[in-house]
Amino acid sequence: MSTTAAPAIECRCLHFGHNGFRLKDILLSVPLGKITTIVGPNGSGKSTLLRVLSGLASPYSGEVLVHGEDLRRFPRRKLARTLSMLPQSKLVPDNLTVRELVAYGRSPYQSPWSYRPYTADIDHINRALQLTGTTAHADRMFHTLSGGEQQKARIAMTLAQNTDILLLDEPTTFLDIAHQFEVMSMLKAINHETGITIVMVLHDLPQAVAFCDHMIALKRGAVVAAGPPRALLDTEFLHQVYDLNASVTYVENYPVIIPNLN
Amino acid sequence: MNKKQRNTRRLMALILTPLLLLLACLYGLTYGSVPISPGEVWSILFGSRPETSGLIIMDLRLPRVLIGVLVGACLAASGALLQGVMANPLADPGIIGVSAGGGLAAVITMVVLPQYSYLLPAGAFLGALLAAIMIYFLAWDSGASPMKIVLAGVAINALLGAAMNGFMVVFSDRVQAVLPWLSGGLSGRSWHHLGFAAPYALTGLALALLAIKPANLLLLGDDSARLLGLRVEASRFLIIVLAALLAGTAVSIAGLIGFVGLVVPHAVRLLIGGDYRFLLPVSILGGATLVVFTDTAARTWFDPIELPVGILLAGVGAPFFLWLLRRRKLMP
Repeated sequence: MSTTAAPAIECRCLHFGHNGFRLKDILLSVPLGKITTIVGPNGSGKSTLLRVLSGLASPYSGEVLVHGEDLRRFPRRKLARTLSMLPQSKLVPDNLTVRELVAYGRSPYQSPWSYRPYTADIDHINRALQLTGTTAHADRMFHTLSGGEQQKARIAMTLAQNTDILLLDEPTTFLDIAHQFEVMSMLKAINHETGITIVMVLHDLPQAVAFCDHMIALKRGAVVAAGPPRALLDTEFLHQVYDLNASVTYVENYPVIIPNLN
Repeated sequence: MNKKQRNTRRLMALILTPLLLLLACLYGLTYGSVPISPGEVWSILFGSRPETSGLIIMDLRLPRVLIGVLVGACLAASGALLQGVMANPLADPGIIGVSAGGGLAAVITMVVLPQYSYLLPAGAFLGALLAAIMIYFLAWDSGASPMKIVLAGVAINALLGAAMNGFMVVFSDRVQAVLPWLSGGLSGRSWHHLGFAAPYALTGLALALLAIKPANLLLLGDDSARLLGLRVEASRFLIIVLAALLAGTAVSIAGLIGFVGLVVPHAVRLLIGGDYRFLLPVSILGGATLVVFTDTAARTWFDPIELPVGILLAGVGAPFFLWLLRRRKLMP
């Protein structure tokens, strides 16, 4: 896929190592306004890469450019207004309503001493609730929601940050199949409506291919393939990235992976 | 608990705790070996001063009640902040070395250098602060995680505790002087103790109110807080130093009073939730109420014996704490 616009995120010669997780000589670019997925086997460095892209972890060498600017030059709060992320951690304090959780997304815009959201904040909070279809739950306690609705509320918090880029670390893991598709369709619709650049780590390869515009495959901390998902996904790709003998077919335009069990 | 219940509870807590604190103060001022009626207390505080009861109120009971307010407020605020930034509901000022550091410094002042005993408050305060900062930096490894702080805290607490016991064994003839301080109490505290502690306590409490927003963000977890633009390491360090300042102030005047920092914020959290905008002020008022009430009980209930308030607090606080924990299990 060739994009004429400047990429949202670029990595050059990126090296990273911490607690046995390694990234080697990563060169990648995330197309602006598209949905990019990072896939690869367990331990291939997907989540680590996402942490580096979000500034949660800093690389040994090489650089990450966000909108062409060096990530290290971003002050924390400015970065939080440019890039938001749904981390894997599911921690949410007790006794919080959905609206109050989403309101945390406005912190990068508020002074550390003020507690009352401004009108602009309220507009962004309402819009985030509406985009995720959680408006009806806004005044319910977060912990009384189902897993799928909780995940949508968490995503609403990252949307309230009103950033150009949204990173998600396995947004569908631990959700039942119906909620997985609901969250994926919702993200696709949000990307379509707002033009926000989305990067997500996904485990489900068919979902990654079906819902994303760009795919980056990692193996042992290195990028082994990148490009349009449907062009990438084939027998050779599965063998190269996952050491899996399988064939790929499409049923009603949805990818199906059939393992070769012998 | 739904939103309406929660908000009702918050409102009730914000209305009731100041009233309870006033009642506790009145209890502390009126009860004692010489009972003084509330009306008399009023006229002493705001008008004429009858000889004896005036002296009792102005020189004995009032400073003691005010010190109780400060000590309780500081300990509860310290515990509330620590439980949040350490992501551990059972954290209390002891866990960051405040008790052990302050205790060792106090023992050294009292048994090794008794001629400098007037330095005790300052020494205990410095000891508490130094121990907290030492633990924080020992736990540092490209960021200080709460778990590492707890582990470093256990080790340093053991070390300082051993040193404290060592001094007490070597100078066993002078241990008598230090025992009341170690069990924590407000006996014999007067205006000059208040004068020493009040500036630190009030500064600490004011700063604690400024820590509300970062403390709330830290409740979301380090990653989320950082992604929302918070400087996580700096915030956690400053809040720990602030908690040490608060607890050190309390320790320096009242000795090792346990349980307030643990029980009060935890009880408040169970009742109204963990949002620091409510948790912190209600804990401060609740801690002050608890210490003033318990100190008055400790000095009047067992007349003519005056118990150190620390002992009574542990005796009342521990069962109450267990009751709260059991109750929450039954009511999910």
